[in-house]
Amino acid sequence: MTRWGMVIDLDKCTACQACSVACKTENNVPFGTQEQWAQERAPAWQRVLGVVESVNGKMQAHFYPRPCMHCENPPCVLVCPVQATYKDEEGIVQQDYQRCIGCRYCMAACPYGVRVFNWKRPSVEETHANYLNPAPLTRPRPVGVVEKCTFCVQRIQRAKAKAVAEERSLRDGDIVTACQQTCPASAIYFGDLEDSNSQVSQLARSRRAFRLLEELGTRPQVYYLSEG
Amino acid sequence: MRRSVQQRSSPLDGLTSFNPAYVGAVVVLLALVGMGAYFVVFRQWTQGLAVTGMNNRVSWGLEIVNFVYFVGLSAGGIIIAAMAHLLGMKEFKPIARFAELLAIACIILALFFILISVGRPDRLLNLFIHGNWTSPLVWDVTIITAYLALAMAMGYFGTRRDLVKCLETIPRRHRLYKLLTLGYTDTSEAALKRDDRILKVLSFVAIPSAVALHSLTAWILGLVKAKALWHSTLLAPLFVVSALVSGLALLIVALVVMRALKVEVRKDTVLKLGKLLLLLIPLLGYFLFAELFTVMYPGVPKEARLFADMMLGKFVVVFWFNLLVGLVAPIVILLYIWLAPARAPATAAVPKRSFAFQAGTLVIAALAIAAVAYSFQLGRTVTTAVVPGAFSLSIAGRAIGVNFAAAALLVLLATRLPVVAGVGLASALVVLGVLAERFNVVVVPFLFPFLPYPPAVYVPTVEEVLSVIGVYALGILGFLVLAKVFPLVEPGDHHAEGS
Amino acid sequence: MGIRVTRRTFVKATGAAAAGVVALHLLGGTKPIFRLLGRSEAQAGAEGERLVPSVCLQCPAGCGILVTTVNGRAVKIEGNPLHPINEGKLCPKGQSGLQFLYDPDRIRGPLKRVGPRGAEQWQQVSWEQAIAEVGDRLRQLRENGEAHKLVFLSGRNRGQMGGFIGRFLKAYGSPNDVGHSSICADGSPQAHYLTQGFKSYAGYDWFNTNYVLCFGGGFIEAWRPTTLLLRAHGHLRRGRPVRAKIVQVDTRFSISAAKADEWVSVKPGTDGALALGIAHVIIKEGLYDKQFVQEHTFGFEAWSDDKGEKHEGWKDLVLQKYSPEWASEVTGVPVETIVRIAREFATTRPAIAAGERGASMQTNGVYNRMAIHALNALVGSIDVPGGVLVQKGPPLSADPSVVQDEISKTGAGQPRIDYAGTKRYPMAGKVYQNIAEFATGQGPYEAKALLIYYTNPLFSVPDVARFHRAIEKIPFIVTFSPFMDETSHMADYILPDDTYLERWQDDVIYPSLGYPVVGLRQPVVTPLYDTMTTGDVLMRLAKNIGGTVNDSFPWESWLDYLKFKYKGVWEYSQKTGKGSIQAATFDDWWAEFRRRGVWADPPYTFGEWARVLPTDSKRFEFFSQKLEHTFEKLKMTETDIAALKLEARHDELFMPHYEPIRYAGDPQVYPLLLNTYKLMTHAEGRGANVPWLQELHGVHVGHKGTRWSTWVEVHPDTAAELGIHNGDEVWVESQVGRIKTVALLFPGARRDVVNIPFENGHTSYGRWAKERGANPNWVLVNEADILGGLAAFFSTRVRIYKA
Repeated sequence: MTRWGMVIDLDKCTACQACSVACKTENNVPFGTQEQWAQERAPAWQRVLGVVESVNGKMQAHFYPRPCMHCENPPCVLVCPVQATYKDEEGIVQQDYQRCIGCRYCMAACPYGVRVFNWKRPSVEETHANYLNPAPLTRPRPVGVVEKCTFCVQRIQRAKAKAVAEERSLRDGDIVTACQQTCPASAIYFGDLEDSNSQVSQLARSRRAFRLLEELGTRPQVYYLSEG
Repeated sequence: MRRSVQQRSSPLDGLTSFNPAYVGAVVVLLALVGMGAYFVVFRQWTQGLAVTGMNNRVSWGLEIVNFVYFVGLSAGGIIIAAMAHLLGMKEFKPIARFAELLAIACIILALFFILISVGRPDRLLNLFIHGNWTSPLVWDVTIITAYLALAMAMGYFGTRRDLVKCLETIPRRHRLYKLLTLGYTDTSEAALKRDDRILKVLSFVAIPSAVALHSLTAWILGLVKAKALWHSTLLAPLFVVSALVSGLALLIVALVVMRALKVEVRKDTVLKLGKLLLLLIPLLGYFLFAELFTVMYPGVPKEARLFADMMLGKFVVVFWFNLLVGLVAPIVILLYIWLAPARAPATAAVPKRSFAFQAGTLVIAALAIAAVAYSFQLGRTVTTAVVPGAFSLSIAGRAIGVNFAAAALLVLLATRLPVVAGVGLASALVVLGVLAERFNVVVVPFLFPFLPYPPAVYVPTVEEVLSVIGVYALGILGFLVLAKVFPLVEPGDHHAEGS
Repeated sequence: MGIRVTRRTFVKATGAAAAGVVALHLLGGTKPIFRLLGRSEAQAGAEGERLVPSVCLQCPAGCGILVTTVNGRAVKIEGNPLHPINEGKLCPKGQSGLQFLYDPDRIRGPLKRVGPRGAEQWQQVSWEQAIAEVGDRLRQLRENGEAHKLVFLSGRNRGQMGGFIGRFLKAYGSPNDVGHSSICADGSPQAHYLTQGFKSYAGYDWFNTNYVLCFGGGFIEAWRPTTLLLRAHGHLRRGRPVRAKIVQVDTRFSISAAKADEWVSVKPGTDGALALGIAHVIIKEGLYDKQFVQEHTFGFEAWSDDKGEKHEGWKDLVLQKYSPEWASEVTGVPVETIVRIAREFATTRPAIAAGERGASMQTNGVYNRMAIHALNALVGSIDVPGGVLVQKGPPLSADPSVVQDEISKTGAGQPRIDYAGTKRYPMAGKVYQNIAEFATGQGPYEAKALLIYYTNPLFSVPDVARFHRAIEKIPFIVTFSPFMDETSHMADYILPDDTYLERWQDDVIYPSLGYPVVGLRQPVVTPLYDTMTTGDVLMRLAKNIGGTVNDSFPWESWLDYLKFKYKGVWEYSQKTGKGSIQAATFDDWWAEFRRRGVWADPPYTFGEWARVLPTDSKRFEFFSQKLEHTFEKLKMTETDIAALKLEARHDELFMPHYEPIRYAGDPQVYPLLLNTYKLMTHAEGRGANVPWLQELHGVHVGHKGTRWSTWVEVHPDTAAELGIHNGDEVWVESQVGRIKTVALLFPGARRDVVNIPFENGHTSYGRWAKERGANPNWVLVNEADILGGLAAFFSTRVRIYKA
């Protein structure tokens, strides 16, 4: 069994947001206009969240790159009325854009707010159409459905196909998500959490490892490593 | 004074006459429905839900608020009808059918709100093809469907006798009535007895179904742990109670309106329903208090933050409207109607006014208005001083004051109205108050995501509001049409007048 | 074909089985997009996929990139794993190059102004016509004996481009090769030059250091080479067993400050004082590297010159004047902090003291920067692992000498229009920001023609209104910008360059790794429009001007010139057997260079002291003989020195010392200081037309209303005093102008300083940039560094009030 998971080292992370852009170019996620951001309607699958505050007179800041958590116990999958979002056999929470009725119940149910809805018919500004990635799995999503991070499922497929072509099984590190690939500080790791020798499962067992909103029992498959 | 209804030769005469007021109302409603439909079809369905005020943080807005609200409103009709059939409460018997129709209408409207809420209405059938049995939404759709069938069955057996009568008297609409009677035109004593028996059985089923329906609707929200306030054990019982309260209040409002339109609705019926309402409103208040107190006393961070915002934050007006205008004012009005010491003889339409009561109310209103006026002054002075957040506090104060004043003035108004109108006013306030409550329950938790997203906002757009109004108009239009199909209230001559 | 991969194999192998399950669900509803793409769905992603190596140009770091193209369209930019600067990683700016390339508002061919300036009335002309008309105009200027009145402003000159422009001007006959370094970060090269003898940015061995003390540079946001620094941050944190300590000295709570172990907040422009206070503790407590100081430095102890004259040593100066108490007074940093950091810095070696714009682009910038760099010498961090490196360049072929006729000789011999290297700006190489005044009457002569390459003075100089006023008076303006920026908007001709993804160019890395690295920028896609690489345009202009100007360019094309230069590298590789590419012929070498996109010659060799310390004394100079000689050469008198507003005199002038910072504006009227800064998503002023960057602004303040916008950060206490609330529209006003923007209450701002980021506020530059946010350059007073003529971006006093 495979269970894909991600580890993000917040100590390494520089909040540069290269992951956000990598995700957008890889997955054809349109940019958000100022108006869309002001209304919280901008699509972003990998979004860097920040908390910047003064605590007893000392400035503190924490930044979290936030992909989909691909929970082991995903609330979104539970509530989706049409099974448009489902957990595949490798632990990825997938979204079936052709079945989704756009009721946005999953968005209400996701404690991490990772899901974005296509509020408008997708359109592209003139020449910007040129850079759309034509890979079949990353087609722009239609209006009226919910979309989110897929753990770069197209890259997983590609790596598997490559392994098949080379007549070998997948190795740890074969699959590199777009955000991981570009992360300048190498703060993002991806791999099989079931494989106890994989880098992610070793890191996930580290003393620094934690998961977001662990108390909700969603059991995210994205682990964070704390700062300092 | 004799009522005009009693001068009519037959209650069925009205079915085929269309006076100008009726036609005018139909035209206006059609226009509203058309407008709503335009916005839904040509804006929302062509451009996407971007035309609404919803967003990725607040993924549900007015549409779902109204869905939940209308599911709740359906409760009153069914419960009253069931009481009439089951307990043989004679005074409710004539309005049972009307109550059932009201319930059916509310449920259908609720489904319309689902229709205008989803992003892909073209795929709604997926609910049945690919239904996910772990989804509370699917449970709810199922129970709604069952409940609708039940209400329709009750409506059918309660109306059948009149439909057969219509079939006989209005040959022009033969095919319509034939269809509505489903071909079952036996009106023998035995058949009618059997209808009554069936109604009893259906009513027996209806009461637990209603509890299930409102609980399941509550669980659409209540089973979601991602939102503070939703995820509460109290939510399902709260929904049952607020459904009863709002549904009953809506029924009273409708009956009062019908009475004003010269349809025969007995004053006694309205007053009795009003008393029932008076008993139920404090129960709703109790539930709200229980929820609030349990959260605020220990200061559970996520929920307390949310409640604090609800009471003093962005939607401060909504909360205090719900509390002061939607709960306190109706209780005071209804109490006043029943407790006003010397009731005038039954012929007097207006109860004797208590000077002390009115003076007291006036003073409250005046104080509230003064407080509002002062808060404007306060807002100016405090913002120049160095008190962070003073500005929003003064706004909150203003909102509370306005609602206080409004509640007091409405109470004052009620004391000057005939009793039936007074009960009607109190019920209308309850109906609106519960809408405010639904808004708070559904929308406000969205504004408090668990992760540090920028502050979320939700401002319904004009399109959104007009679509919702269109659906409301559709409901009223439906009633106007039905009023010309069969008598909405059982004609009095069927039942011996009992007192 | 090595790195060139097609995806056909992938698709064949996976077929319907792999892609099918999910893909089937995705097919619907996307028709409008694919119609725009102009290809059938079956075709999409299946064939025609290539990976093209090139070099990024969203900042001057020179990161290697691999661009995925499908049927001739660039669809994704990733890092080139072979390039040692970024090793396959890429920052957000680099990845957004796609939106730069496919900007819908690019200039699509040469334009000639037909209406009044700025009226946007353009005539599309052919390249022949454009070259002929501009060439004629330039030839005329020469013939009138006014060749020196041609001023060439340039910005991001990468690889050979800077030298090529210089060559053009020399051949043409103008001394006015004005790069943008004086509004960039020239304080560091000048400080390195004065203390260590090399006039460029320093490399730092970030990966092996144990202590980073960074003054006023956005270590992980706005410094360079961006991706290398980000990689270094990750490595210093968790990439090795020992976690280095990072201390960020910064006026505001930047991301670098947030991610550092310690944030030291200083008053703007006092970084030098802090460095000197630290030096005091290190010297007083004897914590400095005595061996290095003795063997490799000059002027630390008291010394006597050839004439037997006694000179004070830097040690005594520091001990006498710069106690931690004094430094605390000046900087606002507690004494204990200064003492502790000094001890940590000196005892956690190898340690690096680095500084950038925040410390150096000040009225006292060069001295500040010298004081900071002196810390490196104190702890022996010069040319050691984990310390300061001196970057080596690639062994290029030498240029043939420029052919000059009489006109060129006379012209090039004229004084520079910007007074660089005169008594006015003794150490300056260029004084870019004052060209507006110099070119229109306040200079030695008026400019007759302005050529502008990859720079946008109408947007990016302090008190930019000056340039807007002056531009009308300059008779002839030509820009090479592929975008309609503010300057091109006012130009007479626009000869649009190819964007960096469409042209040939070499890219020698920004000083960093030490050993020579050079990347090759090659066309990733064929140019989308009728544009031409500026190198080629210059050659064609030279041809049109003719005579010796043309003779100075004996190459067929810009690409030909590049190949000529890189033959030198091939020859070096042949001779020494070193370098990452070995090939029998130059053509093979070039082919391999194209295939890899990068050539490098590791490792860095330590201990080449003659190269590392090319000063007069062959030592690190705490007493700058270079500066002393310059002053002597310029015959600087007491009056001249006073005119520079220098407070120090005699020996102290030539040592790293603290010159009190000057702020422009009356503190009674303008009680606050304005600090300006750059964001990670800033792309060095050229990112405003890139939506992917626009939408990411302001993560350090939690993205609260900052995307696509400009804001001013105000401390909540200051805001409360001023009656300003979060989100209020406010005016920020200085003595030269005011801008309207949105106030953001930010506890990471100092109470006496407000912060505004650069990037937005364009009045031109395409649909994404135009009329969005505000440009702080309209408020900044044009102050300059005493020695180096550097524009001071942090020295303006302002007041803010509700709009």
